[in-house]
Amino acid sequence: MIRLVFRDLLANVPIWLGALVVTAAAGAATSVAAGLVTSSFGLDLVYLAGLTTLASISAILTIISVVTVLGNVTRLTIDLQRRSYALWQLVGVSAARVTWVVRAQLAVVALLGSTLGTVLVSPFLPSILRFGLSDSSGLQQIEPQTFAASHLAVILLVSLVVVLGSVKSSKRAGRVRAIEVLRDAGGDVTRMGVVRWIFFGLTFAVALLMTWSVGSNPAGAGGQLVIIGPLFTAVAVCAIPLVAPPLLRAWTGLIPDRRSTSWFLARNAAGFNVGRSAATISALVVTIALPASFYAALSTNGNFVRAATGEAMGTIGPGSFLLLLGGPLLVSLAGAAATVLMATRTREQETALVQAAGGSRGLVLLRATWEALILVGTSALIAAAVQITTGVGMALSLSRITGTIPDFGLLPAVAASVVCVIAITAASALPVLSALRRPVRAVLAAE
Amino acid sequence: MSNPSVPTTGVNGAGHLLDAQHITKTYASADGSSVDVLRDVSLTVDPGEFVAVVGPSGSGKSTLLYCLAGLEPYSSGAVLLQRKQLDQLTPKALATLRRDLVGFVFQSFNLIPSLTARQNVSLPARLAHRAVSDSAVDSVLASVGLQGREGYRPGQLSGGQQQRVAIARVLAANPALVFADEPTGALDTQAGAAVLELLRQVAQGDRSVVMVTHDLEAAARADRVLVLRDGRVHRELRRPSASEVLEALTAAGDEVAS
Repeated sequence: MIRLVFRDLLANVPIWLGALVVTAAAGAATSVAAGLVTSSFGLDLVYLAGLTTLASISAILTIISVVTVLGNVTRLTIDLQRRSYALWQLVGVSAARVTWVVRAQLAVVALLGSTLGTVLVSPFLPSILRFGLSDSSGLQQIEPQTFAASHLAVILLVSLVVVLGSVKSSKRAGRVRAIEVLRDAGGDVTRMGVVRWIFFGLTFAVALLMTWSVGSNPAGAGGQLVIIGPLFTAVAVCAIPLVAPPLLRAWTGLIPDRRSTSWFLARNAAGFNVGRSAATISALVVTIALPASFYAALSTNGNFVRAATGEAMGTIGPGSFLLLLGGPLLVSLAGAAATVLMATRTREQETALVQAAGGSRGLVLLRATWEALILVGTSALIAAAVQITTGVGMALSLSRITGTIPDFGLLPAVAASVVCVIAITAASALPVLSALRRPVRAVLAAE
Repeated sequence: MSNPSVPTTGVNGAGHLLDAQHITKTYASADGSSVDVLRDVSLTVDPGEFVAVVGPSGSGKSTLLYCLAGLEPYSSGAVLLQRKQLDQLTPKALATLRRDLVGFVFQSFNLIPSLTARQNVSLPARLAHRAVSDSAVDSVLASVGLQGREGYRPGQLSGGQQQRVAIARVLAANPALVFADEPTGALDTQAGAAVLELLRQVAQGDRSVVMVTHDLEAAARADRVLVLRDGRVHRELRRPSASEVLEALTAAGDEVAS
């Protein structure tokens, strides 16, 4: 069994590399949050309270991002290898053993990835924390502290999240039927299951309560300010299987495909695969909506303060931004790019087919670019709904005290979308460039 | 290599549709040594011909097919497709040549999974920026017995139906030369026979088919059968029976073994 675990890992390196990169990013992000916690050890109560607040917000945002992205990435990792699991069963590996092999593989990759991320970030951790605290009033003097035990705790925590997050998916790996060797099953489509509906309902209820509560305080929003946007982001991520497919088909349908074959191919491929692109779209929504809704809440509260007192409210500095959102954004962006890279094999075949039919290299590359833009565009639209809900919700709540104009965090959304476009286009185009170098025969000839 | 402007002449005095002269194909193996897959292969295909290529496993049949189609570069020699020498074309010109002159039918169907049967069939026309109506595509699909399946995606069709979509794609594009790589390899006898009958119908007029196959009955439907052995054309049979193909194949296999 040990041999199967490692041999299969090596045979499917491109797929597992995606999981490794994301767990490494999760390890690095969680290390920053852990660094904030360990830096509060032994501090005076005043500093302790300030740093603990910052650390807990950072930890919550990081956990939301890590759990969302890692859960989806591990699920995709397993789905992409269904044919292998069917083959294992054909040669006599029992369903239970398949499940345990998959869990062992995930644990190995999670341990390697989180160790890699933690080790890579650890030399820079004091500098990151110092920079992060530099624009937090009263916290600049704090000397960051890190401990070997906290690094170990981060590695174990991330590995635990990966293994626990994949319990259901790894069980499904064991349930793959041997007949799938003969058919291209294509993996499961992410659906709105009971658990997802429960999470959707809970996060939505908490987000609404938090939003309503900001209007109950005459001074405006307090600590809940930084959590409202992320909560609505979590609501959107839960609703992706329900929202993303019709949204993607609707908006791409507005652009006629008669003129451009590359757009025609990209639109159809994106529409066909949208049920299996939940991992990518979730990560992209987190990457765009998290900073944008965060700023939407902050700026709407700033509008309230200005309307109520005539004074401008201080904005969040780059250091605080890095501490609060740097880690979650690193994880989500790495997750989005990795999930696109992981689906290389299906793209290779389509690339070869279009080439065999007489499509040029330029057309094939353009098709990959359009597909990346469609994924980012769909995610940006979902993120826009999060930003509008956050801004309008906050403004309505605060208007109970003083009339408040909503802000939608447009600039951060545009900036994050541009970063996503660059990352996802690169992640889409690189495998296509590599596929273009492979002989068409090698891809299309029967195995 | 031959001069691209040299005209090649077919049996009926017209130009050969395909003229391959002295092609070799060498791969570098993992240990650094070179492996000769094709050795000095020469063949021609005339308009309206149905040519089958058979041979033992590893004899270079599929490699030959992909070299002739311009999907794999050959090491030396020359392949002229409608008098254009493939190795002298830019990648873009080669893509255009494939788009305008060549059609493919693969063993593993190779339809684009995200497109419907109708969209798969009209794809070559789209790539060539040729207008093609849905009704024209539907009538081609009907001609291969897929009426009512126009909106189905490959995953919703059986293997035989998918292969018929692949043939409909070729029929709709109306290429001069169709390359088929084990087109019946993944089909049952009945579906395979239907596919062969369609390919036989394709090879007429100005249109030709070159098919690689292991199926003796399939090869026996061809006008000409080339028996490949160890990367060379071992024998050429004209309108052979299945037993004659078997005999030639057995002889080729025996010589390889001895």
